[in-house]
Amino acid sequence: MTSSRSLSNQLGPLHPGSVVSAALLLYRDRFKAYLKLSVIAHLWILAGIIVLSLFIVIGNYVSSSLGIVLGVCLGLLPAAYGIAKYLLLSALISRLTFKSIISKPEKTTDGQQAISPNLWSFFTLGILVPLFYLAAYIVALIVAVLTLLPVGMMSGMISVLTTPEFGAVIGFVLGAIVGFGAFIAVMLWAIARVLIAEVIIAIEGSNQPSRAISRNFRLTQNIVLRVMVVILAAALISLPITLITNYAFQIPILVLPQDSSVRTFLISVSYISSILGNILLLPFWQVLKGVLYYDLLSRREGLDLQLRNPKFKVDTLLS
Amino acid sequence: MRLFNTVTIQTPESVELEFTLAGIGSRALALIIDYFLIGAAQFLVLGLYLSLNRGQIASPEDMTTLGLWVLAITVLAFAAIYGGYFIGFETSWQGQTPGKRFVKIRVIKDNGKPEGVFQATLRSLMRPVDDILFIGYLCILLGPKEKRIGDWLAGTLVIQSERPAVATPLNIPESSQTIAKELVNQSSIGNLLPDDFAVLREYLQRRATLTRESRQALSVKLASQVREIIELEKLPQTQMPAEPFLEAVYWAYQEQFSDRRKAH
Repeated sequence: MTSSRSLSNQLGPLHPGSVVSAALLLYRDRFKAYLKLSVIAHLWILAGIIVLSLFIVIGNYVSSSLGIVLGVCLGLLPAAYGIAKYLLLSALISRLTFKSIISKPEKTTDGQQAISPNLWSFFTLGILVPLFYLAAYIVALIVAVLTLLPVGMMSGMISVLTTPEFGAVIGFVLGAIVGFGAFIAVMLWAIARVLIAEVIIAIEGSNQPSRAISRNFRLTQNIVLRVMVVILAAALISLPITLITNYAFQIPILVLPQDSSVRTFLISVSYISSILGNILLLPFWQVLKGVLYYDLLSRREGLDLQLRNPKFKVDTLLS
Repeated sequence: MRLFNTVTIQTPESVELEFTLAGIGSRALALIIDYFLIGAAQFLVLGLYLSLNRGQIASPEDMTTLGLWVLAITVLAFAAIYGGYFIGFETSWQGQTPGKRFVKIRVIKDNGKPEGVFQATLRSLMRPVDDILFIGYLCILLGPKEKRIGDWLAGTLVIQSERPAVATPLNIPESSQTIAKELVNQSSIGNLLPDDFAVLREYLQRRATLTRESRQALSVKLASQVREIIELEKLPQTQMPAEPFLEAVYWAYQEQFSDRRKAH
C-alpha cells in the first residue's frame, strides 16, 4: 500500500477502541518515565496535605479557635501549590505523549520547563472542571429519574396484563438498566466535553482555562459520541485495576468485626493500595488524553493532512 | 514508536503477511456490545418464561411435568444464546460478531486463514474462564500477541479488519472536472507524488468533519502548496476558490494515473 499512512508516523483519526489500545501500548513503552512522574505528582499532593496539617497543628498550639482558622488559611496556599504541581505533572505526561506521536519527542525536563509558566492555569482548571462535573452530576440524576417515568408506566401496564409481581420484576430490571444508562450517558457526555482541556493548556500554551474548555467543546462538537465511547472503553480497561486496588480490601473490612486489629490493619492497607492504584492509573489516563488530543486534532483540524513533498518542510498546524 | 502491536505470518508459500492486532480497547468495546445483545436476548427469553408462568416462580417440586419441561428449555435457551451467539456469528461472519463488526476487528487462525467452527467453539467454551478474575484481560494486556486463554487453545488471533483496498471514489462536481481538463494541459500534474495525492484524497474525504476555520485554512494552504508542486503559472479562474481547485487537481491526477494505479 502506498498511502501516506504506511510511509510516515502520521496516523490520522483512530477508531475509539484503538485510541485506548494505543494509549496502553505507549504507556507500556514509557512505563518507568511516566510512573516516575506520577509518583512525583502524588508526592506533591501529599506534601501539600502535610504542610496544611502542620499549619493547623501549630495554629492550634498558639490559640485553639483563632489559630486553627489562621492555620487553615495559611496552609491552604501550599496545599493549592501541591495540587497545581500535581495537575501540571499530569498534563506533562499528556504533552510528552502527544509530542512523541507527532514524531517530535521531547525531554521530560524540556516539557516541564515549557509548561511551568501555566502552573496556576492548571490550578484554576482544576477548580472549574470539578464544578462542571458537579453540575453534570445533578443533571444526570434528574435525567435518570425522568427516564424512569416511561419505564414505570410500562411496568404498570405489564402488571395489569400479567401479574403484579411480574410487572414489578420487569419494571425493576428495566428501570435499573435505563436509569443507570441515562446517568452514565450524561456523565460521559460531561467528561468528554472537558477531559482534554488541561492538555490544550499544556500543548497550546493558552493561559486562559475558560478558553481551553471552550476549545475542548469545539473540538468535540459533532463527535462527542465517539469521545464518549473512548472514555467508556478506557474506563472498562482500568476497571479491573480499580477493583483490585480500591475495592478488594473493602470486602474483608465489611465482614470483620468492628474492633478487630486485623480490620484496622486492613483499612490502612486499603488506603495505601488505593493510592498505589491511582499512581498506576494516572499515567494511563494522561497518555490516553494525549492520544485523544491527537485524534481530535486530526479529525477536526486535519493535523495529519500535510503534504510531505520534499519541496516543503514537514510542519504541523501547531508550530 | 509503535501505537499498535503487529504480527507477521509466514504462509507455506513463503509470503509474509502483516496484521495489526485488534488491541484491548477495541476488544473490550466489542465484548460490551456482544454482551449487551446477549443480555437483551436472554432478557426476552426470561420474559417469555415468566409470562408463560404468569409471573409465578414455583419450586421444582411443585411443578407439573410440562412446567419442568418449560424450565429446562428456558435454561437450555440461556446457555444456547450465550454459546451459540459467538459460535454462530464467528463461523458464519468470518470471525466477526456484531460487536466485532462494529469496532472493525475479526478472529483469524494463527496461520492467517479464516476461523472455523472448531476454533469458534473452543474460544466460546473458554470465554467464562477468561472472564473470571479478568484472566483473559491480563493475558491480552501483557502477552505479545494479545491472546486470551481461548485464543491460545484455539490457535487464533484477533486482528483489525483491513480497510477496503480500493478507496471509495469521491464525487467531484462537473465544474471542477472541467477545470481539471485545463490543469492537465497547463501544469505538471505528474509532479505530485502518490503520497501527496493520498493526502489530497484524505482531505477531500474528511473535509466535512473539520471545523470551519480549519477547513478554510487547510484548503488554502494545501491549494497553494499543490499549485507550487504542479508548477501552475496561471490559475484557471481569476477568482479560484481553494476547494474546487483541489478537487480539480484530484480529478486530473486520478484521470491521468488511474491506469497506472490499477496496474499495481
